[in-house]
Amino acid sequence: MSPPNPIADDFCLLAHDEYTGKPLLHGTALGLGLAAGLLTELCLHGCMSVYNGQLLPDLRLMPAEPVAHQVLELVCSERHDLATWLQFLARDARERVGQRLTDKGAVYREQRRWSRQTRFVPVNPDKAAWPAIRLRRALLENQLTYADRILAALVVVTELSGRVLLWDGNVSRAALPPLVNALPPPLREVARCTEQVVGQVVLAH
Amino acid sequence: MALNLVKPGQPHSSPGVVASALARNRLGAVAVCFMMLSAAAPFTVVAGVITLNYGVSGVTAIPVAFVVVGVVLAVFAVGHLAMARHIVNAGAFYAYVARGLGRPAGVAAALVALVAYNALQLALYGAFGVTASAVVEAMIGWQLPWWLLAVGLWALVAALGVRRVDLNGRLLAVLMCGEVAIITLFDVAFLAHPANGVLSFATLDPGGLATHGATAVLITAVLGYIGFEQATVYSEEARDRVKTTARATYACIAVIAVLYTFSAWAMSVAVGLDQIASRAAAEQQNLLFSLAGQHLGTAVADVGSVLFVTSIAAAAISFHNAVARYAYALGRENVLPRLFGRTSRRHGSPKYASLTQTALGITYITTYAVAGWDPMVAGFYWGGMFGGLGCLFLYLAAAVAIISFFGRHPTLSGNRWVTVVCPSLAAVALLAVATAATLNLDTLLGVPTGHPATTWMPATYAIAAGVGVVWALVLRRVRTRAYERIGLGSHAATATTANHPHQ
Repeated sequence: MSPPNPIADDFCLLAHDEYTGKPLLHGTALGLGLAAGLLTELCLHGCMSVYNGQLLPDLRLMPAEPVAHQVLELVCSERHDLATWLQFLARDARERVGQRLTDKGAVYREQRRWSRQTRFVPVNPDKAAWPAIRLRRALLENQLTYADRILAALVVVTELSGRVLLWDGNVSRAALPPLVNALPPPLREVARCTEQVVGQVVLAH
Repeated sequence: MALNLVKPGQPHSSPGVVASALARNRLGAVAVCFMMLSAAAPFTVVAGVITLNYGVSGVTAIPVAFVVVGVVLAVFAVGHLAMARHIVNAGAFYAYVARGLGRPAGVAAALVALVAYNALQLALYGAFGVTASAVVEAMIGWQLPWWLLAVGLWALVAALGVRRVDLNGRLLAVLMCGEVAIITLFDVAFLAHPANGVLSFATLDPGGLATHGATAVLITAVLGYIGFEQATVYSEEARDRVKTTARATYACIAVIAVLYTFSAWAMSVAVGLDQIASRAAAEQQNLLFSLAGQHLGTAVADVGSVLFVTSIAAAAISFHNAVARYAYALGRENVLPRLFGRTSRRHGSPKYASLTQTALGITYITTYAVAGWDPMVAGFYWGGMFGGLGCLFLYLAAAVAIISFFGRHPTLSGNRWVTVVCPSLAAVALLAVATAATLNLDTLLGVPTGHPATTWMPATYAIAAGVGVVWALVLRRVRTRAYERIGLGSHAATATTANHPHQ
């Protein structure tokens, strides 16, 4: 079995239509979810931790993957709290992750003629739908891997649950939120902070 | 490979790329003040509320009521702004009450606010229907029923609410500037043509409030100021959290005080003290425009009546979104059903809160249309006064909560003027206003003493508060975690992990 995709890649595929590449989430939640995905990747790699709303990056453990590397250098360059970093990274997280998926050949870039927006259209819709299907099956069988649990938490906090639950009632909506609480503290903080910032954006004018 | 361990707590010198990138969208005091005033829709108050108030209540002391309430609220704002620095979710007064007087009182305040804001929003549909049908008739001669146009606005509000379209800030600002310009023009013309040739200052005499029942019009003045507290909502987006918010709040109170006092006074000068009540009763919201037509020509009056309609529509949209956000914040922290705290996936709007508000809107329009109630007096005016009364109770509760909060946390602010004296003065004044207004509701509503409306208006808030307290106690028993998050709004998610120093 191939190594699992980075969290942000999976979240990106989850949050877009597998055929058209159309976003299934509104822009802010999408950006914040991807930003959270990028930060959790650093946590998983062991080169960053989160405590009490602050990032604790460690440049001694450089990730080999270029996007993660860039994000790590960025969060080392200045000191801000987690919420600020999420908001900052959210601004171009879609571009970063979309480019990474493009480089892997999973998606291709399409410039929309009228809206001048960029879409990342999956090359193979079946592969693009895989994270959603995998997560759904894992939830059904209650056999979530560590990465699945993080992905599920990001789905919960960005309110993308409908995508994973789909129309079958076998996985109840109530089964998802406890997944966030079950994460290890640093990752839980990232997820909770994302939820809060998503909520703030709704309330902001 | 670089060996660079960033130590926690290491300060960073310059503001840096991140801060300046995020600061690009930050708001200054002028921008915040503009946003607050445009949502306040000045024309709705001047042409609708003030004229109806003259007519229905027959009280002539309305201009001085705006001065009195403006001063009281400015004093209240001192403590309000001081407390806003220390709590999250500072835009909502129930958060103040929850922190100052305990969570059961907080939930009670939240429900009172929800009822009051709802009443204010729904009231606008009636006013829009009546004024828009008058404008349509004047322009193209069609006679449309008020409810048809109200349903039109309702559909627009519903669609924009779910799609999370807030009216463009520039459009609102242009409308608001137009409104203020034309109100000022009207006022100057009115003062240049005083009735009987005498410039009377009688309506500005504080003694006018001492007459029987006159204190009830203080509610009207409170209604005019609603929204001044919203500057703290923008504090997260403001350039300087403390200074910008404070400047915008005081500026907003000052602008409203000057504009409404001056307009209400100018109107009474143009009609004459002895005539104002009877003419306002006869002409209702048309009084302002018939006066303007008389002194400035019909073209200017027509522009005014169109701006009146757009002003009500803008207010309806802003209020709808504000109420939906409020319900969303409450759903987010489990005070209302969790459903209200969910957003639309596509648009990020508080979908269910917005749809509920929409359902209430059509119920309101249908009820008034079927029952044949007067959408202007029984709908707009009574609804507005009902909402104003609720907001008055809310301000009072917040003022008491501020005193209690600083009493419990004496280390938070050294200046006793800010933490003790001003909030106490405001609380006493608001208590006096609330008592006087509640006892004289019959005058305000233009009904005989003992009319059921004078009972059910305060009673509704008492019931809402009672339900809130009971619900909070149920939450404390059944869902302890949710109970602990009351008052945190969208911050409820991080309540367990992030540090809230004063929690």
